[in-house]
Amino acid sequence: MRARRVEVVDVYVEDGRAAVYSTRGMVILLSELATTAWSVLGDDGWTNAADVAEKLVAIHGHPGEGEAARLTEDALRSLAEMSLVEVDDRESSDG
Amino acid sequence: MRGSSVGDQPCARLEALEVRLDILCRGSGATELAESVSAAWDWCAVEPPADEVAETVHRLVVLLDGDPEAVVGQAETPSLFGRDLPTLMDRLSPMVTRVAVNDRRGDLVMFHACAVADPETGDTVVLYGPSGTGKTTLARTLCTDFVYLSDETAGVAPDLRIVPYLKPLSIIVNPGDALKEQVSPGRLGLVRPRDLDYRLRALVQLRRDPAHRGDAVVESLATVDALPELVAQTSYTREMERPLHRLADLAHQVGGVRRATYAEAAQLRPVVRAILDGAV
Repeated sequence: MRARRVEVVDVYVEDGRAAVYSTRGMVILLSELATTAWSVLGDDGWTNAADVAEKLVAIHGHPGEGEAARLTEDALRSLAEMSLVEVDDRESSDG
Repeated sequence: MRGSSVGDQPCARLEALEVRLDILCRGSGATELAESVSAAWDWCAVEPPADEVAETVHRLVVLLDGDPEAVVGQAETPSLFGRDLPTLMDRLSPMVTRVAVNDRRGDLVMFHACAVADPETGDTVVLYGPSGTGKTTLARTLCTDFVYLSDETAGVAPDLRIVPYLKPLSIIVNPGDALKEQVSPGRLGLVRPRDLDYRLRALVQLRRDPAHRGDAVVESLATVDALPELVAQTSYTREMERPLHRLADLAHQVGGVRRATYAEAAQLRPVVRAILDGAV
């Protein structure tokens, strides 16, 4: 799985949590985990979920065997449901 | 108070958020309409200077006539048409607000809010919240002591100066009335602003909870947590450059956003006093 950000109106980050103003006109508050996941994604292309998971583990600690990948994918899919990222079930070849 | 006239036509000259509007009254009820507008909107009334540039004045043609065909053949297409005065007055208020807010969208931050100020210092508390939070009731309750600056839209300039919108209050005068009446703040005994700079001192998110017991509860919000509702209650944020940062910056300049949970408007009187005194 891979993901990338979509265009947003504005993002404000305070104490590790972000408020994101989506182009749908809503301001969405992200958890610290979701803020990190969103921050790891670049503006210029796809990032593999495995790379996002690695960063999340580095910052927030290891949640348990096999859990990091699952939690990361859940977080990215939640962000996609909020129209803040796009996800693709393929892996990025250059990621 | 009687309306003035443009040529032979009755007219009410108003200023809302420092935007000039002429309400041009037409139809068989034109005189009655102009008098009602002038009476209800008396705190917004202006005597325009002789050198006023016509292009800077918004013209709202309002037609009051019992004949539904009266709209045909008007020299200017009415912005608003009604067959009875109360309905027309009820619909005029949001129209004036829309015109004024639209005109100031480039330079003011405009909160959907009740704005009240200390009569001596001009320090202003902006109490923002969605429709139904009771902003008009708040203005009516608090502004017998505090200065009334708006019950609908608080305009804030980049230097934190408050741009008043001294509109009439929409209230149900008689229980059972279907329509709210537009009542001049003066008729309700509210405190009128004087020649003083009114400046933003505090931003308060309103949370009215009829089940709330005891005194109003005031808490400080992290700015990031305040932003969703702050954006929802601010006009034209999509047109701002980096709107979240602009609103966050504004909040930081006044010590952050507070949230007040209350049941009755009167519970906010000591809260506003304490904020203005720097006690909370």
